[in-house]
Amino acid sequence: MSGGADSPSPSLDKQFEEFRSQIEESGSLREKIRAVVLEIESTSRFMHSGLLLVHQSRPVPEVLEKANAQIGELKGLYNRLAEIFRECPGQYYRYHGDWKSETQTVVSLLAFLHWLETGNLLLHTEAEEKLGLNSSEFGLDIEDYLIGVCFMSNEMPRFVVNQVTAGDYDCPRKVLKFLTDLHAAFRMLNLRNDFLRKKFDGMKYDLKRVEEVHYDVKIRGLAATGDSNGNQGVADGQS
Amino acid sequence: MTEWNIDQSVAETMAAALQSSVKRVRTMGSTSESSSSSFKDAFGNYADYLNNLNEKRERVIKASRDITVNSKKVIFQVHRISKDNREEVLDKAEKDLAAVTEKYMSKLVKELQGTDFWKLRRAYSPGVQEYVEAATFCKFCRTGTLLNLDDINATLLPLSDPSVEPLQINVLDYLLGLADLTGELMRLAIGRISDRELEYAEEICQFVRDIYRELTLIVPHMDDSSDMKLKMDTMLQSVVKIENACFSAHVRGSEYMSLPGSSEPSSFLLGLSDAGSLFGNTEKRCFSPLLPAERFWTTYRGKFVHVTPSSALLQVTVLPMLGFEGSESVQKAILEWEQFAVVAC
Repeated sequence: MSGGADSPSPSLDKQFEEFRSQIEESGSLREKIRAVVLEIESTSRFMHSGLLLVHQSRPVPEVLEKANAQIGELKGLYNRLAEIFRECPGQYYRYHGDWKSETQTVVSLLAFLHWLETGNLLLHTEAEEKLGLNSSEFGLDIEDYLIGVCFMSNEMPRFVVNQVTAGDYDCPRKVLKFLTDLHAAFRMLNLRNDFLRKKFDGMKYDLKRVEEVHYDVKIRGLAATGDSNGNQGVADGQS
Repeated sequence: MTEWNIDQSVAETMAAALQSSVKRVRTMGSTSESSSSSFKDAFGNYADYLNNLNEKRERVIKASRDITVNSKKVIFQVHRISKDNREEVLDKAEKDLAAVTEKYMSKLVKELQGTDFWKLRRAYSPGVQEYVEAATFCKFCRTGTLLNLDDINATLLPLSDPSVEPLQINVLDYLLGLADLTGELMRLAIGRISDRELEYAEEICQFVRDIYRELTLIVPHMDDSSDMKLKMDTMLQSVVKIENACFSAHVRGSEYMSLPGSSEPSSFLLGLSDAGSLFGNTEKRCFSPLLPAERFWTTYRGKFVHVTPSSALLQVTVLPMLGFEGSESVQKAILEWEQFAVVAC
């Protein structure tokens, strides 16, 4: 005992030496990830600010064109993330926290863009496709996708209000239909008491706000003239 | 009457709107149904995914709880150790630990395949940490060495057949478990000191210091280091507690006098809870670091005699406090003890 007391046993030292190198390795991996995530964040910020022009009644096609250009960039960045993870299979969720909120934002932008283009919801598989992700190795987490969709719904009331102000009286009807369906679809999910649940609970306020706008427009007979189909997307509703 | 007019106009527009909306609903029916049904399907898939995930998480949490509870039992079993029942206690602890591995750790294997291992880490981590604590605690008491992560993981290999990925505890959970181990070792060390196994306590002290020192280099680089930093503070407290206990045992231990006629280990820490047994066989309890440590010299038949404080203090302080003062058997025991002390000198 007395001999071992002064210098710790070599096996103890050796194990901790290994741990240190393992943990430092994981730290440098995390730094690599963070570097890419910073770029994703900045690209998505540009995309967001471009999309915001839609509230200022710029022609939708012009806004879409600009934002679509950034999707390619995002795709490249996600490809780089996937590349990093090819080195450490199975550890996707170990570092998930480092990019999940950025990814949720990206999904919300993509979904909003997609809706402006087609009037439909961007599905999980479609979102993966747009970002060039592949479920088998580096996919889009379904919860991240769903949270992103909730973020998109937060954007809707503002959009409706501004569209109506700009003279598109048919917009509230289409948005209301879309949000009602979306809300109904979300109610099919059994959620836990987590972030997604909280976001979903917030969705009903978006729905309510859109209903109010719809009501305001309708009660004044403003919507009566519009008779375009819902699936054409809002791009046609623009004058 | 203007009010009425307004109401009427509102009513008219409402009726018109209602009509047009009915019309629209009819025209829109086919197109909107196709789009909403496609995403209903998709949401059906998401619902399945979430249901499966949540059920799996619940199962993992349950297994983790079972592991925690039963690993705690193993730890308590190890604490029952003392000089003479060492083998027996450790045998039982090791048997119980093996049962935890087989019965509960095995449940985690099939749940944590592939990416789920990291995805569900928060659900199983507490159980695994406790398990690491129990396994390393047993090992330390058996051999005085640290059970390596590789060795723990080797014991987990037989749980799964070769076709599936084996369950391997990750470094982070292992280190978090080790941090908890030091708390248990502190308790053990204090217990050993009161059982007069000072050397053993010092060995523990050295071991805990080593772990603490090694961890200081690693912790800043760990994934979620806030949790671990907290544990490091607690660990340092444990180290200091052991060191202080060893210190007092050292300093005051010089006053300990092993008594002739008693080969049995003497109780070292005399707590009041010990008082009952103390009065049963006084001659074995001759010193306590809890009592003031001055030496008493007295004369006995014209000679200077060294008496440890216990006998004097027992009569002066402790006994009246406990209401034992007048007890005849106690008086007799003390008298006997003093005779022992005198003989020893």
